[in-house]
Amino acid sequence: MGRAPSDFMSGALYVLLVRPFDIGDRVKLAKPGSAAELYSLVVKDIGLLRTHLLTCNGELLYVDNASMRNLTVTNLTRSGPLTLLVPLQVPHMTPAAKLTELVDSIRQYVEEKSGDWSAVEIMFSATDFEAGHLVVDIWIDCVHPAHEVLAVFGAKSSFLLFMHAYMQSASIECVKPILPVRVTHEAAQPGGFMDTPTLSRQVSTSGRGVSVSGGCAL
Amino acid sequence: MTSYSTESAGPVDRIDAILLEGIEAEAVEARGEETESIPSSPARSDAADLQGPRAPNGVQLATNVHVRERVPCHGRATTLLWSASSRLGLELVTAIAALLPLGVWLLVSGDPAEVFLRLELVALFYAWCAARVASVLIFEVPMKWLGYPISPRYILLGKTLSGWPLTLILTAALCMLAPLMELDESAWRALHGTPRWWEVVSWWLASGITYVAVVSGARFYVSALTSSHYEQRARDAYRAQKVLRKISFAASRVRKASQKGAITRNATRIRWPSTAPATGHATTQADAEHRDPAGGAATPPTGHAPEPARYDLSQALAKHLQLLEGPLEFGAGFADASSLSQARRRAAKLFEDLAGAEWLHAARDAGGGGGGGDPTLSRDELLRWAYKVHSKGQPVDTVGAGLLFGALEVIDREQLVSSVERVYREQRLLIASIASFDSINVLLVRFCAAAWAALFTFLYMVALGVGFNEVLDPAHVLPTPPRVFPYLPISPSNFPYLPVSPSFSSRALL
Repeated sequence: MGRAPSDFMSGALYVLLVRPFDIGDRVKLAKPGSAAELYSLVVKDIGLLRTHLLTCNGELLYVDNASMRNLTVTNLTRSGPLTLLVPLQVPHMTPAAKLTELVDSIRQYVEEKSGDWSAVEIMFSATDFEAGHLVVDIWIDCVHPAHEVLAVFGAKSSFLLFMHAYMQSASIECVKPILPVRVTHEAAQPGGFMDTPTLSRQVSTSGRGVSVSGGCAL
Repeated sequence: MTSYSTESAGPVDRIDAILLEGIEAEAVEARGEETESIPSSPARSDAADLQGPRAPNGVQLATNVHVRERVPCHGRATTLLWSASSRLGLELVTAIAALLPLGVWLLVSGDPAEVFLRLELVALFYAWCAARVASVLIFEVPMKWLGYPISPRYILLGKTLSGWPLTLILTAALCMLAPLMELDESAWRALHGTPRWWEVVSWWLASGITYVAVVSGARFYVSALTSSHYEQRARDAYRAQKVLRKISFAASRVRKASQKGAITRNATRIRWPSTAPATGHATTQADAEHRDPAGGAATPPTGHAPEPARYDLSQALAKHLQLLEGPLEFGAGFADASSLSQARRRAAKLFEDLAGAEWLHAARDAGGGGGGGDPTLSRDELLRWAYKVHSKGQPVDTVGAGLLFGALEVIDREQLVSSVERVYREQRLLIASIASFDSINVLLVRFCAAAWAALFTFLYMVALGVGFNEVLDPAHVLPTPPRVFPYLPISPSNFPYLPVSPSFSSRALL
C-alpha cells in the first residue's frame, strides 16, 4: 500500500504527459535491453491506472501504467516504413559467379515487387569458417507501414520463399553437416583418375532420417 | 453483428477489426437511434450500394438526419417551467454553498443565537444576487453572442470564469467596497466591524481568483497538449478523405454517364464542367465543398459560420474533428460507411464505377495484356482526372493522395479497398483516441480542482483564526495524566498494570 500513491501518480503522468501510444496503436513491450516478449499488441483503452491491450491472439491484456513506465515501448504505428534485416547463410563452397547471380536476382526481385519493397542493400558481413558459410546481410526497405503487420510479414514471407526457391534451383546448399567428414581412398576406377582420394560426406537432416550424399574431388 | 473477414493482407487485420467493432458499437450507443442502423441491418446499405443515389435527382440524404417530433404547446410550457425552476434551484444551492463559509464565520464570530436574525446575512445574500446578475449581463450574455470569433483560449478562460467563480469574485469585491456606496450602510459597517472580516473576505476573493487561475491553467495545458498531439494527424486524415471524396465524385459521373449511354473519353471530359449541372449534383458537390475547411470554396450553404463542437481545442483541430466525426462519407451518391464491412463494400462499388472509365486503366504489360482479370487504374491519371472533374483548376493534392494510396502507382480492386479501409480505420481510431485523451484530461482538471479545494480549506481555517499550534501540540490536545494521590501506597496490587522491574521507580509517576 505504501507504493500505491506514487505508482498511481507516476503511471497517470506517464500516460498523460508522455503519451507513448494512442487507441489502436500497435506496440511491442519489452524489458529495457532485452528482446520484446509481448509483441504486436493493439491498444484498446487507456486509463489512469492501467492500459488495456489486445494480443495477437485476441486476448485482452491489462498492464499497469506504473509497470509499463519501466518497460520499453516500441510503437509500430508511429514508426513508419520498416527496414528489415534478413540474414542469409551461403556456403563457402559457392562459386563467386553464383554469389553475383544471387545478389543480382535479389535486386531484380525487389525491383519487380515495388508494391512491397522499395530498396535493398546487400552486404557480406561475416565469415564463419567453423560452420562453413558466409553471412550475407540483406537490408530491405518495406513500403508498408510497420503497424500493418500482415502486409509486412506477407511481403517478408514471399521474399524468404523466393530466396529458398532460388537457392534450391541454383544448387546453393544451406545445410550444415552434422556428421564428421571422412576421407576414403577408393579403388581405382577403370578409365578414371588413379589414386585420387575422394572426400565424401554424409549429411543427414536432423530428426527426419533423410540423408544427402555429396562429394567433391580434391 | 457485422462479420469481419481478412481475406487479404490488408491494413486492417482481425485484431484491428475487433477493436473497430467495439468503437462502432460505442458510436452507435452514443448516437442513439439513427435512420441507418449500423451493424444490425446491412440490407439497407447493400441496397444503397446497388442502387447508388437513394433520393430522386441524385440528392443524397444525410444519414444522421433526425425527424423532429412535434411537441404539443402545453408540453413545451411544462418543459420550460421545469427547466426554469431547476435552474433557479441550482442557483439557490450554489449561492448557499458559496455563502456557507461566511455564515460559518459569522457563527463563530458572534452570538450563535442571534446570527440568523442579523441583517448582515441578508446583505451578503443580496450582494451575491447582484453579483450574479452582473456576471450574467457583463460576461455570459456577450460570451454567448460573440462566441466563436474569439480565440479558443479566451473562450476557455470565459467558460472557467462563468458561473460561480466570477460571481464569487464580484461578491467579494462588492463586500469590500460596500460601505463606500452608502447602501444599507449599517449592515455593512456591522459586517466590517466583525472580528477577522478582512481575513475572511480576502480568503473569499483569493479563492475565486485562484480557482480560475488553476483550472483555466490546467485546461490551457490540456488543450495545448491535445492540439499539438492530434492536429497533424487530424489534418492528414481529413486530407486523405478529401481526395477520396473527389474520386468518388468523379466516379459518380462515370456511373451516370454509363447509365445514359456510351461514353467516350473526349466527350465526357467536355460534358463534365466543374460547376454542377442541373441533375441534382449541386447538392452533392455543395456537400463536398462544405466539408472543406481549408479550400477557398468552403462557404457553407447555410450562410453562417459552423460552430465548432469543441471550444477547448485549436480551431483547426476542432473543425477537422467535427468533419471527421460520424460515419465515413464518400459523397456523390454513395451511402456513408458506418462500419468496416460497409466501407469495404462502398470501396468495391467505387472501383467498379472507376473501372468503367477505360482511359483510367493502367497500361498492361505485354505479357498480361488482354487478360480477363480485373483492370488496374493508373494512380496519376485517376487523380488528375478526378481533380479536373470535381474542382477545375485546383492542383492535385499529392500529400493527400500519398496518405490515401501510399506508394502505389497502379491501383487494383484490392488496393483501393485497402486504401479505403485505412482511411476508415484512421478516422475511427482518431476520434476514439481523442475521446480517451479527454477522459484522462478531465480527471487531471478535477485533480487540480481538488488540490485547490484542499489548500483553500486549510487557508480558510487560518483565516478563521484556528490556532494550529495549539491543535497540534499534544500538551494542549491530550488530557492531562491523572495524578496519583501521595498517600496511596503504590504496590502491584493497586496498579496491576505496572511493569514489575527492579529499575522501576514509583516516583516517576508522581
